[in-house]
Amino acid sequence: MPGANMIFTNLAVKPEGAYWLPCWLSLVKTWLFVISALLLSACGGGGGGDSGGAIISSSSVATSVSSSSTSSFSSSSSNSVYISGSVSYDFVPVRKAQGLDYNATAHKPVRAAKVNLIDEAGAVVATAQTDQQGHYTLTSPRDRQVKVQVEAYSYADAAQRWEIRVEDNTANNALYVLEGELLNSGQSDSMRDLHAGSGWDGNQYSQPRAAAPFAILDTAYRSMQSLLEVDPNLTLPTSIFRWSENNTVAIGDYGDGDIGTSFYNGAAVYVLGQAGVDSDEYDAHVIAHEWGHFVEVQLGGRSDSIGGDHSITDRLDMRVAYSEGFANGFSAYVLADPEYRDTFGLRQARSSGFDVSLKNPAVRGWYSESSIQSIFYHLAEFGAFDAIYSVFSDLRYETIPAFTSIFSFAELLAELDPQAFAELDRLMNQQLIVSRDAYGEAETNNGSTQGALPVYVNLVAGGRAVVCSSQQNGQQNKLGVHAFLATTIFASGQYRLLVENNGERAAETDPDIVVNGAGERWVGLSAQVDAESLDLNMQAGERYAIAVTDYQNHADALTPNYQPACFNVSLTSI
Amino acid sequence: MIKLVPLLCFAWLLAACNGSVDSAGADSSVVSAEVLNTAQVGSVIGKPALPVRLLHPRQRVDVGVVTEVDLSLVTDLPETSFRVSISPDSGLSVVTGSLEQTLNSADTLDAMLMSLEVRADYPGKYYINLEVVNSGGATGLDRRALALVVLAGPTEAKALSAEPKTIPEKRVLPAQERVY
Repeated sequence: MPGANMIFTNLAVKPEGAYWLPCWLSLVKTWLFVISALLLSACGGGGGGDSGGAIISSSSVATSVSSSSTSSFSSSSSNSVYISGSVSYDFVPVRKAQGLDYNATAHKPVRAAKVNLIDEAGAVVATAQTDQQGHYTLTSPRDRQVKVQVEAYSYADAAQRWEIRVEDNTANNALYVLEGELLNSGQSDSMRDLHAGSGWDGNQYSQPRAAAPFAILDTAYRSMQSLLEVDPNLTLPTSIFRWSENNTVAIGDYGDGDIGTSFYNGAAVYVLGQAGVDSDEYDAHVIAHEWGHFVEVQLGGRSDSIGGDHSITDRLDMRVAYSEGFANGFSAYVLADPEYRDTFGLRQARSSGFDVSLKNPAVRGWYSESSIQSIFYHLAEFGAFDAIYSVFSDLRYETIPAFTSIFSFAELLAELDPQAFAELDRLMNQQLIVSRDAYGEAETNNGSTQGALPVYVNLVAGGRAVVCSSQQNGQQNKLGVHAFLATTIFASGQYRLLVENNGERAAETDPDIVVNGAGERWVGLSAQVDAESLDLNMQAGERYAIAVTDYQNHADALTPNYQPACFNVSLTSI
Repeated sequence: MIKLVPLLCFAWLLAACNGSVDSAGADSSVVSAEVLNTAQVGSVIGKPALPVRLLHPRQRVDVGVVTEVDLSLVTDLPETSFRVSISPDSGLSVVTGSLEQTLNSADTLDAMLMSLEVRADYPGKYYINLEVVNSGGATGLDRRALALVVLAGPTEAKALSAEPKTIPEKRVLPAQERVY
């Protein structure tokens, strides 16, 4: 595959080491940088291009921003001076099999972030962007009280256009900023280095946790690099992260911080911050996992995942297994670390995790998060991350009627990249997944679950089919809870889809329906007992996918005589 | 009364050292907390986690009244054992109940029952944090942090919001700065 090995090689050399230079060396490097830039500027350079960036005049007001990740500036005039320096944050690593290791805290650069120079009236008098080493240069009026402000906002606005923001959901989604002191700019150039500390005093967080938003920003920035490598014209909507030290594991109002867990909801990634209980700002895999969901939704244009609790030992609804498995595999690949870790507890000293790369997990199949994560991780590692990207960015990914699953992914990859598909085929065999068809045709692995096969039951217009909703693997999002049907329409018109309890289960049922097809989605989620119906305007020649479930909990699901809820499903012209 | 307070505190501390509290003054007709609806925030696409959750994650109690809060857990893991460490907020007095409990999921998907009798002396929002560890030898994620929200007093019955209103403000964090 062209370029396949290059992608992996590039990943391995991403700059991640500590950069905090000895003071004298930093000074020498900065002056060399300034002198070089002045020479370039004097020679007529300094404007445009990927390496130069835009010129920011001393009078610019928060509008002229470099289009590259390097700092930019004009020659200082008699009225102005340069204020330059570096921006860094405390990165606290996770010690394997333990928790956060504060003793190993490292300074890391804040990259591609927006830097403002603020005067005593609060006005922005200059703006710049940090480079890969966290360096910035601003032009300031002489002898003026100014402070440097760094936004938890990284971006690119050239051929590749993306933005990452970190906000406080407990403060009206205000953008986090790191601020220095209001000081006189003086009569000559000066340096101001800003550092965001973790706030940890060796025993607890006794100081502001300034590093947290920048740790999240940097993990997202790092994750972004894999996409930037495969698409020179990458354009993404803003990635929004919302973190607060008040974000708890309690369920409630997000504005109060009761977010329950770290998650993505289509609008933003919410991140836990409750010290001593569960905080995720330094859990890079958690951040990259949730951003993986953002990638799935924003690149692919859809996620059919129904959410809910999930773990690597579950037999899951195929839509959930696919989405979560992709996010795990993505996090392991972009971080070049297959050991997923999540820290918890007092002093964040404990962790829990798993090996994403495991090829023989306890639960293998199209319904296993473990299988899907292994497939995506190894497929990317093989050098086919560009092929994965091509599937997500293909227009058909968004419009295919079949629900998103490893099956729909495989069918599309087979068309787009046969060489990558050959590797996928091998990996799917390894995970005991047989079908390569979007509708799981001819799949033989039933996950020891009653009614799990066929993956899609065929429904003929004018006919009837029987499907069952079983909770033997658990409730809500587990394998068997939703049954899938597919139908092809031969005459356009109005149809009624009717789902009725067939009486095999004595208890009341509450059937719900989702239908995908012809670029539309319909849902029937009423609380009607034992029946649900939808009237659909369906098009000739189109295929439709249908999901049917019983919303009621089956408390007897693990008893020997358990009877799942079974439904007669009919589609009739009206 | 003044003498009684330190005595009660001492008794509570003693009991807490043993991981359980069982005040002699506990009322046999303890009222149950009101279960609050959380359906508005629904299921989310969350991080991988041990599959265990609170049956009723938000409850309301009256101020000054000993109330039984329901800490029952629900799991999809059959025949598994969980160690649960319970840490209520200060301000929420535990009257009866153990702060270290072991629960076993049965061969059904019924909730694993667990409760605590508490009293809030002042109105407000309190958390009861739970650290749940799967001691059944599961591979992968073997622990999870959960929290029960206890609202004490006549709190507003506001609708839960899944999306806070965005206002273009900045949340300022202080930098460690070196100027030279």
